[in-house]
Amino acid sequence: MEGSSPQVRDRLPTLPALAQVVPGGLLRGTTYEVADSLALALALAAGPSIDGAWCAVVGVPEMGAEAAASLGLALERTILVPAPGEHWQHVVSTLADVTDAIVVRPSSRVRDGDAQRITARLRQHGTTVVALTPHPGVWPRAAGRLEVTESSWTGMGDGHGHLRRRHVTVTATGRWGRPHRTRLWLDAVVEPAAVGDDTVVALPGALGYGVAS
Amino acid sequence: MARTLVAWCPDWPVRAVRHTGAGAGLPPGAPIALFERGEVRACSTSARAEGVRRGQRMRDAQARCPDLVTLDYDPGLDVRAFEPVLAAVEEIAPGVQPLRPGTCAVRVAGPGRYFGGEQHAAAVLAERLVEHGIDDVRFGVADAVFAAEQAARQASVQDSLVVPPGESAAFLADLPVSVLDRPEMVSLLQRLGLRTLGAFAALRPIDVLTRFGPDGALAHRLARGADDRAFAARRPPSDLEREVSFEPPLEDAEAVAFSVRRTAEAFVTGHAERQLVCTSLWVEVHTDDGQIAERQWLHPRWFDAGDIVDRVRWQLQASSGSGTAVSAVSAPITGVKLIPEDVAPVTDHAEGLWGSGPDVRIHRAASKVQSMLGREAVVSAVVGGGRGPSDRRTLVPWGDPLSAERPAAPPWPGSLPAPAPATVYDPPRPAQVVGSSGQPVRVSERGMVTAAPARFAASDAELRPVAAWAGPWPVDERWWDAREAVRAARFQVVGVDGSAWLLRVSDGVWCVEARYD
Repeated sequence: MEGSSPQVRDRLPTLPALAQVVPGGLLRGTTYEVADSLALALALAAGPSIDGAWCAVVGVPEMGAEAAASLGLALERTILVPAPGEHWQHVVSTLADVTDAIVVRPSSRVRDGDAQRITARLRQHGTTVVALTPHPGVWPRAAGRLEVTESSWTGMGDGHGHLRRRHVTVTATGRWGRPHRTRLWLDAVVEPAAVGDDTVVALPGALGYGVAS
Repeated sequence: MARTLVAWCPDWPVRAVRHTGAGAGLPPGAPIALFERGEVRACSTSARAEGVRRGQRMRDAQARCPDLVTLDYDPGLDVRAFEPVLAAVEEIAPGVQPLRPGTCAVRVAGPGRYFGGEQHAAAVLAERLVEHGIDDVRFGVADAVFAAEQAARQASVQDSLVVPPGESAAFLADLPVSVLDRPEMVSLLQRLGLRTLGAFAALRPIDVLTRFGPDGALAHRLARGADDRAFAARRPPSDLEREVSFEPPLEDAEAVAFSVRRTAEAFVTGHAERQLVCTSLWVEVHTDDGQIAERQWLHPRWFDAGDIVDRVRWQLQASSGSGTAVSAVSAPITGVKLIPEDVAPVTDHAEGLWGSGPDVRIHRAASKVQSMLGREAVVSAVVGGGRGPSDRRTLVPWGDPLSAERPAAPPWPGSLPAPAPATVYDPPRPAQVVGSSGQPVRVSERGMVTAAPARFAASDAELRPVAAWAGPWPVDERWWDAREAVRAARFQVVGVDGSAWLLRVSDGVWCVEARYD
C-alpha cells in the first residue's frame, strides 16, 4: 500500500464501472471503509469474485442474496458468517487466509492494535477488507473511504410506478489526495454514468426526481 | 436365469409419515396427502377413495376431500423409515436391493429352496414384515426385477403373485405401456397406437433403438421380459461402523466430543484400510433414558477424524427444538455410534480434491470457523423463488448441498420487480407511515390507502418526508392455511434523502422488509 505507482498484482480486479472510483483497483492487504451502502460494498467484492476468487461476508446478516448475485458476487464462492458476534476479528483473520475480499461490519470501533494484527494477516494472502462503517475512523488507518454522497431514484411517482434505476455519486477519500467523485448507476447492476446523465432522469416517460444530500 | 422376488408396500410415503413422522397421532382411517411443491406426491387409500390423485394441486385435493390432512413430503423420511424393513428382509434373504423407498428386490433362488417354494418364501417374508408393523405388503416373483414388480402390483394384500419361469413376456404383454414410468415416451407410444407392452415388445429392437435411444431400448427389453439390469445388492451392514460407550454416562457435550475422538480416528482408519473414504454418515447418540437421537451428516469431500468430532459436537449442541437431536442437557449420554451412509473409493475423490469441489484450504478455513461458532454460523446463500425478498433467500449451512427452499422456476406472481434490495431485514424491523396531517396510513379491505403517505420512519429513525412512493401491492399468501396466511400489502418508499425502502403493512402495523441501499 506504500508507493504511488501501483503494480497490477498489488491490486484486486474491479468491476469496469468501478474503475474510476478506485483507480487501478482495491489495494491488496488493506482495508477500505464503505459508508451506508451495502450495494457498493458488494459491488467492490464482486470484482475479484467474478474473476474466480473466493469472498466472504462477515457480520452482515441482512445481505440480500439476490442483489449480491445480480451485482456480480458468485454466491457459490462466497462464505457467509452472518452473526460472528464478538469473534468477528477471529473470523476475518481465519478467512483472510483463503479469500481475496471480505465484506465485514465491525460490531464496534476497531482498536489500533487489532487493526494492525488483522492487517498483518491480510497482507500474508493479499486479502482486502471492505468494512461497512457508519462514520470515518471506525477502522483506524483505512486505505480509503467510499461514500454514496448523492442518490436519486427513477421510475416511481406519487403512488405509481416502481423503483427502477438509481443514480449515485460516490465520493472516494483516501491517501491519494483530494476526494474525487464518480457518477454511477447503482441498482441491479453497476454502470458508469456520464456527468451529464442527470438529464436521463427527466427523459419523457421516466418519472424522476433527485435530491442531493 | 435369476428368479427375483419384489416386495412392494403401497403408499409407502404415507405409511412412513404415519409411523415415524408428523402423522403419527392421526386416526387409522384419516385421509392423508403429502405435498411436494403444492402438488400431491402421495395419498392414503381413504383419500384416494375421495378422489385425491397424485399431481393434483392442493386446493383441488381439498375441494374433493375437505377433511384431508395435508403434510409436507419428506424424501429423507421415506428412506429412513424403509431401513428397518430392509433389515428385516435381510435377516431372511440376504442381498437386498432397494429399488425405491417402499419397494425392494431379493434373489429368490436360495430362500425359495430353503422355505420350500417361492410362494412360501414370500409368505415367510410377509409374516416377518407384519411383526415390524407393515400390514400391507405385496409380493411378486418373476424372472427379472421389472416383471416381478409388476406382478407385486397385481397381488392382493399379504399375498404373492408368481409368474412361472419363462412366462414373464406373456405376463407383461397385456399391461398398459404406462407402467414403463417414462411419461414422454409413453405418451408417444399411445399416440402411435401401441397401448400394451405386448404391442411395444413386438417392434424390432433396432427400430426402437434408433427412434428412442438407449433408454427406449432398455424400456423395450423390459417390455419383452428381458430385464438384464445388473442386480445391485445392498451391502449388508458392514464392520465399518464404530461405537463408543461412556461409563459413567457423560453430560457435557465437550467431554463427549473429547472422548469420541479416538473412535472417530478408528472410523476413518477403518475406511482407509479398504481404500475408502466416508462422504456421508449417521451419528447416533444414545442417552441414559434409552433414547437414540440420530442425524445424517454430509461432507462436501469426505470426513476426517476432526470433521466427525465436530459433527458430534454440533449434534449435541443443536437445540432440542430441531426435533432430531437432543441437547446435551436432556439426558446423560451413554454412547455414540458412527454409521457410514455413503462411502467412495479414495481414487474417486482424488480428482475432486483438485478439481470441482471446494478447495481443501477453503474448506479447512470454513470448518475452523464452524468449530468456533457452530455449524449454522457459516452458511452459503442460495437464491430461490418466493414473493418477499427474505423468502427468496435460503441460507444453507456450510457443507450441506446447495438447494433453495423454494424453487426459482415456477412463476411467483406478485414478486417484486428488479432491482432486488441489497439489505433484507429478516425479521422485518418496525416502521411508521403517516399521512399529511399525521394520521396513520392504513390499507382498506379493498386494497386502497386511507391517505397518501407523507412522512415515514424506517427502523428507529425519526419521521421524515416521503419523496415518492408506490403501492399498495397486496400480499395474499397461503390463504388456504390459517396459521401461515399472510394478508398484507407492500410499498416502496423513497425519502427526500434519496434512501429507498421496502415497507410492508399488515393490520395497520408497518414494518421495513428491505432497504435499497
